Amino acid sequence: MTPLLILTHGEFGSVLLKSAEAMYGPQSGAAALALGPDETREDFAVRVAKARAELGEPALVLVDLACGTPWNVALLAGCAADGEVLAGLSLPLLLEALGLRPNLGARELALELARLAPQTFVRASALLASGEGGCA
Amino acid sequence: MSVLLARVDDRLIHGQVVVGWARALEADCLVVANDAVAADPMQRTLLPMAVPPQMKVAILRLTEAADAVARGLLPGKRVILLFASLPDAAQFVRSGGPLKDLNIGGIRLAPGRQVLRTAVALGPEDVAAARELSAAGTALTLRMVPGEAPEPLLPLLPPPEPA
Repeated sequence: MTPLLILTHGEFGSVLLKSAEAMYGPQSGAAALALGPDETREDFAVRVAKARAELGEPALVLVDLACGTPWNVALLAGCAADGEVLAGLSLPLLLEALGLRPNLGARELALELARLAPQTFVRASALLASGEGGCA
Repeated sequence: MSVLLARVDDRLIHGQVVVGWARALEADCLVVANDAVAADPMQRTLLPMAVPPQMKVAILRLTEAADAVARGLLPGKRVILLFASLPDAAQFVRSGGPLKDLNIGGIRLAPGRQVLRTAVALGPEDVAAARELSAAGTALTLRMVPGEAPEPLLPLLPPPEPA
Protein backbone atom coordinates (compact mmCIF):
# COMPACT_ATOMS: atom_id res chain seq x y z
CA MET A 1 0.00 0.00 0.00
CA THR A 2 1.61 3.24 -1.13
CA PRO A 3 1.49 5.86 1.66
CA LEU A 4 -0.44 9.00 0.79
CA LEU A 5 0.29 12.46 2.17
CA ILE A 6 -2.01 15.38 1.34
CA LEU A 7 -0.72 18.96 1.85
CA THR A 8 -3.02 21.95 1.34
CA HIS A 9 -3.67 25.59 2.13
CA GLY A 10 -6.05 25.32 5.07
CA GLU A 11 -8.31 22.33 5.81
CA PHE A 12 -9.18 21.59 2.16
CA GLY A 13 -7.11 18.37 2.17
CA SER A 14 -8.40 16.90 5.42
CA VAL A 15 -12.01 17.65 4.44
CA LEU A 16 -11.43 16.17 0.98
CA LEU A 17 -9.94 13.03 2.53
CA LYS A 18 -13.04 12.71 4.75
CA SER A 19 -15.30 13.06 1.68
CA ALA A 20 -13.27 10.42 -0.16
CA GLU A 21 -13.41 8.11 2.88
CA ALA A 22 -17.21 8.46 2.83
CA MET A 23 -17.11 6.86 -0.63
CA TYR A 24 -14.15 4.52 -0.22
CA GLY A 25 -14.12 3.63 3.46
CA PRO A 26 -11.60 4.54 6.15
CA GLN A 27 -8.01 4.82 4.94
CA SER A 28 -4.87 3.71 6.71
CA GLY A 29 -1.49 5.03 5.64
CA ALA A 30 -3.01 8.33 4.53
CA ALA A 31 -2.70 11.72 6.22
CA ALA A 32 -3.66 15.31 5.42
CA LEU A 33 -1.84 18.36 6.79
CA ALA A 34 -3.28 21.90 6.68
CA LEU A 35 -0.92 24.84 6.29
CA GLY A 36 -2.28 27.56 8.58
CA PRO A 37 -2.21 31.24 7.58
CA ASP A 38 0.03 32.02 10.57
CA GLU A 39 2.35 29.04 10.10
CA THR A 40 5.94 29.48 8.96
CA ARG A 41 7.32 27.40 6.13
CA GLU A 42 9.83 25.96 8.60
CA ASP A 43 7.16 24.86 11.10
CA PHE A 44 5.13 23.26 8.32
CA ALA A 45 8.25 21.47 7.06
CA VAL A 46 8.78 19.95 10.51
CA ARG A 47 5.22 18.59 10.50
CA VAL A 48 5.65 17.24 6.97
CA ALA A 49 8.88 15.45 7.96
CA LYS A 50 7.13 13.89 10.98
CA ALA A 51 4.18 12.72 8.87
CA ARG A 52 6.50 11.22 6.25
CA ALA A 53 8.40 9.33 8.96
CA GLU A 54 5.12 7.95 10.34
CA LEU A 55 3.69 7.01 6.93
CA GLY A 56 6.85 5.45 5.51
CA GLU A 57 8.46 5.87 2.11
CA PRO A 58 8.25 6.17 -0.81
CA ALA A 59 5.00 8.10 -0.52
CA LEU A 60 2.76 9.86 -3.00
CA VAL A 61 2.36 13.50 -1.95
CA LEU A 62 -0.71 15.31 -3.28
CA VAL A 63 -0.74 19.11 -3.01
CA ASP A 64 -3.41 21.63 -3.98
CA LEU A 65 -1.38 24.13 -5.98
CA ALA A 66 1.95 24.01 -7.80
CA CYS A 67 4.16 26.89 -6.57
CA GLY A 68 2.27 27.25 -3.27
CA THR A 69 3.95 26.78 0.09
CA PRO A 70 2.82 23.12 0.53
CA TRP A 71 4.41 22.41 -2.87
CA ASN A 72 7.60 24.30 -2.00
CA VAL A 73 7.91 22.48 1.32
CA ALA A 74 7.35 19.06 -0.28
CA LEU A 75 10.01 19.68 -2.92
CA LEU A 76 12.56 21.18 -0.55
CA ALA A 77 12.05 18.13 1.72
CA GLY A 78 12.95 15.84 -1.18
CA CYS A 79 9.49 14.26 -1.51
CA ALA A 80 9.83 14.22 -5.31
CA ALA A 81 13.20 12.48 -5.10
CA ASP A 82 12.16 9.66 -2.73
CA GLY A 83 8.56 9.42 -3.87
CA GLU A 84 6.32 11.51 -6.08
CA VAL A 85 4.64 14.92 -5.73
CA LEU A 86 1.53 15.83 -7.73
CA ALA A 87 -0.17 19.24 -7.70
CA GLY A 88 -3.81 19.78 -8.67
CA LEU A 89 -5.53 17.77 -5.96
CA SER A 90 -9.21 17.08 -6.63
CA LEU A 91 -11.83 14.62 -5.39
CA PRO A 92 -11.84 12.46 -8.55
CA LEU A 93 -8.03 12.23 -8.53
CA LEU A 94 -7.99 11.41 -4.82
CA LEU A 95 -10.58 8.67 -5.39
CA GLU A 96 -8.44 7.24 -8.21
CA ALA A 97 -5.40 7.37 -5.93
CA LEU A 98 -7.19 5.52 -3.15
CA GLY A 99 -8.35 2.87 -5.59
CA LEU A 100 -4.94 2.36 -7.19
CA ARG A 101 -2.54 2.66 -4.28
CA PRO A 102 -2.94 -0.92 -2.99
CA ASN A 103 -1.45 -2.18 -6.25
CA LEU A 104 0.92 0.53 -7.49
CA GLY A 105 4.10 2.02 -6.13
CA ALA A 106 4.46 5.79 -5.80
CA ARG A 107 6.00 6.26 -9.23
CA GLU A 108 3.52 4.08 -11.14
CA LEU A 109 0.67 5.64 -9.19
CA ALA A 110 1.79 9.16 -10.09
CA LEU A 111 2.14 8.27 -13.77
CA GLU A 112 -1.31 6.70 -13.83
CA LEU A 113 -2.92 9.69 -12.06
CA ALA A 114 -1.23 12.09 -14.48
CA ARG A 115 -2.66 10.04 -17.35
CA LEU A 116 -6.16 10.06 -15.83
CA ALA A 117 -6.19 13.74 -14.79
CA PRO A 118 -7.63 15.25 -18.02
CA GLN A 119 -10.55 12.78 -17.92
CA THR A 120 -11.52 13.96 -14.42
CA PHE A 121 -12.24 17.47 -15.67
CA VAL A 122 -15.47 17.24 -17.62
CA ARG A 123 -17.56 19.88 -19.39
CA ALA A 124 -21.13 18.63 -19.24
CA SER A 125 -22.44 20.42 -22.35
CA ALA A 126 -19.69 18.86 -24.50
CA LEU A 127 -20.59 15.46 -23.13
CA LEU A 128 -24.31 16.01 -23.86
CA ALA A 129 -23.56 17.24 -27.38
CA SER A 130 -21.44 14.17 -28.09
CA GLY A 131 -24.38 11.92 -27.16
CA GLU A 132 -22.02 9.64 -25.24
CA GLY A 133 -22.52 8.70 -21.62
CA GLY A 134 -19.52 9.49 -19.51
CA CYS A 135 -20.44 9.30 -15.87
CA ALA A 136 -19.57 6.15 -14.02
CA MET B 1 11.68 46.96 -15.19
CA SER B 2 8.78 48.58 -13.48
CA VAL B 3 8.29 47.42 -9.89
CA LEU B 4 4.52 47.06 -9.48
CA LEU B 5 4.74 45.74 -5.94
CA ALA B 6 7.49 45.39 -3.35
CA ARG B 7 6.47 42.96 -0.64
CA VAL B 8 7.78 41.46 2.58
CA ASP B 9 6.67 37.82 2.71
CA ASP B 10 8.59 35.11 4.54
CA ARG B 11 7.12 32.48 2.23
CA LEU B 12 8.57 34.36 -0.79
CA ILE B 13 7.14 32.71 -3.93
CA HIS B 14 3.84 31.07 -2.96
CA GLY B 15 0.14 30.94 -3.77
CA GLN B 16 -0.85 34.44 -2.57
CA VAL B 17 1.92 35.99 -4.64
CA VAL B 18 1.65 33.91 -7.82
CA VAL B 19 -2.12 33.55 -7.93
CA GLY B 20 -3.29 36.61 -5.98
CA TRP B 21 -0.89 39.46 -6.64
CA ALA B 22 0.69 38.49 -9.96
CA ARG B 23 -2.70 38.04 -11.64
CA ALA B 24 -4.21 41.20 -10.18
CA LEU B 25 -1.21 43.30 -11.23
CA GLU B 26 -0.51 41.42 -14.48
CA ALA B 27 3.06 40.96 -13.34
CA ASP B 28 5.34 38.82 -15.48
CA CYS B 29 8.46 38.67 -13.32
CA LEU B 30 9.16 37.80 -9.69
CA VAL B 31 12.41 39.12 -8.23
CA VAL B 32 13.40 37.32 -5.03
CA ALA B 33 15.86 39.51 -3.14
CA ASN B 34 17.34 37.14 -0.59
CA ASP B 35 20.95 36.26 0.27
CA ALA B 36 20.14 32.81 1.67
CA VAL B 37 18.06 31.69 -1.31
CA ALA B 38 20.62 33.12 -3.75
CA ALA B 39 23.27 30.95 -2.06
CA ASP B 40 21.15 27.76 -2.01
CA PRO B 41 21.29 25.78 -5.30
CA MET B 42 18.30 23.65 -4.27
CA GLN B 43 16.00 26.64 -3.71
CA ARG B 44 17.34 28.40 -6.81
CA THR B 45 16.26 25.37 -8.82
CA LEU B 46 12.95 24.67 -7.12
CA LEU B 47 11.40 28.10 -6.56
CA PRO B 48 11.11 29.12 -10.24
CA MET B 49 9.92 25.66 -11.27
CA ALA B 50 6.19 25.88 -10.68
CA VAL B 51 5.32 29.44 -11.61
CA PRO B 52 3.27 29.83 -14.80
CA PRO B 53 5.46 29.44 -17.92
CA GLN B 54 5.09 33.07 -19.04
CA MET B 55 6.50 34.30 -15.72
CA LYS B 56 10.20 34.91 -15.20
CA VAL B 57 11.87 34.43 -11.81
CA ALA B 58 15.10 36.20 -10.85
CA ILE B 59 16.82 35.25 -7.60
CA LEU B 60 19.31 37.91 -6.51
CA ARG B 61 21.37 38.81 -3.48
CA LEU B 62 20.09 41.96 -1.74
CA THR B 63 22.92 44.10 -3.11
CA GLU B 64 22.39 42.69 -6.62
CA ALA B 65 18.66 43.38 -6.38
CA ALA B 66 19.28 46.97 -5.22
CA ASP B 67 21.58 47.48 -8.18
CA ALA B 68 19.17 45.84 -10.65
CA VAL B 69 16.20 47.96 -9.54
CA ALA B 70 18.23 51.18 -9.30
CA ARG B 71 19.55 50.67 -12.85
CA GLY B 72 16.21 49.49 -14.24
CA LEU B 73 17.58 46.16 -15.49
CA LEU B 74 15.17 43.56 -16.93
CA PRO B 75 13.73 46.07 -19.44
CA GLY B 76 9.98 45.91 -20.02
CA LYS B 77 9.38 43.48 -17.16
CA ARG B 78 6.44 44.02 -14.81
CA VAL B 79 8.02 43.04 -11.52
CA ILE B 80 6.96 41.91 -8.06
CA LEU B 81 9.93 42.37 -5.73
CA LEU B 82 9.99 39.98 -2.77
CA PHE B 83 11.83 40.27 0.54
CA ALA B 84 11.71 37.68 3.33
CA SER B 85 11.92 40.25 6.14
CA LEU B 86 11.84 43.94 7.03
CA PRO B 87 15.57 43.99 7.90
CA ASP B 88 16.24 42.62 4.38
CA ALA B 89 14.16 45.44 2.86
CA ALA B 90 16.13 47.96 4.97
CA GLN B 91 19.39 46.40 3.73
CA PHE B 92 18.11 46.75 0.14
CA VAL B 93 17.52 50.47 0.68
CA ARG B 94 20.92 50.90 2.40
CA SER B 95 22.46 49.27 -0.69
CA GLY B 96 20.91 51.96 -2.89
CA GLY B 97 17.69 50.20 -3.88
CA PRO B 98 14.77 52.59 -4.47
CA LEU B 99 11.69 51.65 -2.43
CA LYS B 100 8.74 54.07 -2.47
CA ASP B 101 6.08 51.67 -1.18
CA LEU B 102 6.45 48.41 0.74
CA ASN B 103 3.64 45.92 1.17
CA ILE B 104 3.80 43.87 4.38
CA GLY B 105 2.38 40.46 3.52
CA GLY B 106 3.59 37.71 5.81
CA ILE B 107 5.99 37.83 8.74
CA ARG B 108 5.11 34.82 10.83
CA LEU B 109 5.47 34.46 14.56
CA ALA B 110 8.93 33.54 15.83
CA PRO B 111 10.53 33.83 19.29
CA GLY B 112 10.78 37.51 20.26
CA ARG B 113 8.01 38.60 17.90
CA GLN B 114 4.59 39.96 18.88
CA VAL B 115 1.49 39.26 16.78
CA LEU B 116 0.20 42.38 15.05
CA ARG B 117 -2.27 40.96 12.55
CA THR B 118 -3.01 37.55 11.01
CA ALA B 119 0.31 36.33 9.59
CA VAL B 120 2.16 39.45 10.70
CA ALA B 121 4.27 39.43 13.87
CA LEU B 122 7.09 41.85 14.58
CA GLY B 123 10.16 41.72 16.83
CA PRO B 124 12.39 44.61 17.87
CA GLU B 125 14.64 44.26 14.79
CA ASP B 126 11.57 44.31 12.51
CA VAL B 127 10.23 47.45 14.20
CA ALA B 128 13.65 49.10 13.94
CA ALA B 129 13.84 48.23 10.22
CA ALA B 130 10.30 49.56 9.66
CA ARG B 131 11.23 52.88 11.31
CA GLU B 132 14.45 53.07 9.33
CA LEU B 133 12.56 52.48 6.07
CA SER B 134 9.91 55.02 6.98
CA ALA B 135 12.58 57.61 7.82
CA ALA B 136 14.15 56.90 4.41
CA GLY B 137 10.84 57.73 2.71
CA THR B 138 9.26 54.29 2.20
CA ALA B 139 5.49 54.04 2.82
CA LEU B 140 4.71 50.77 4.61
CA THR B 141 1.27 49.18 4.47
CA LEU B 142 -0.20 45.86 5.61
CA ARG B 143 -2.10 43.89 3.00
CA MET B 144 -2.07 40.12 2.53
CA VAL B 145 -4.01 39.88 -0.74
CA PRO B 146 -5.16 42.39 -3.38
CA GLY B 147 -8.82 42.24 -2.27
CA GLU B 148 -8.03 43.67 1.16
CA ALA B 149 -7.78 47.36 1.98
CA PRO B 150 -4.23 48.48 2.75
CA GLU B 151 -3.55 49.53 6.35
CA PRO B 152 -0.64 51.84 7.21
CA LEU B 153 1.91 50.05 9.40
CA LEU B 154 3.46 52.95 11.30
CA PRO B 155 0.50 53.78 13.60
CA LEU B 156 0.46 50.13 14.71
CA LEU B 157 4.08 50.06 15.86
CA PRO B 158 4.91 50.22 19.57
CA PRO B 159 6.16 53.66 20.67
CA PRO B 160 9.93 54.12 20.26
CA GLU B 161 12.08 53.25 23.25
CA PRO B 162 13.06 56.36 25.22
CA ALA B 163 16.59 57.35 24.32
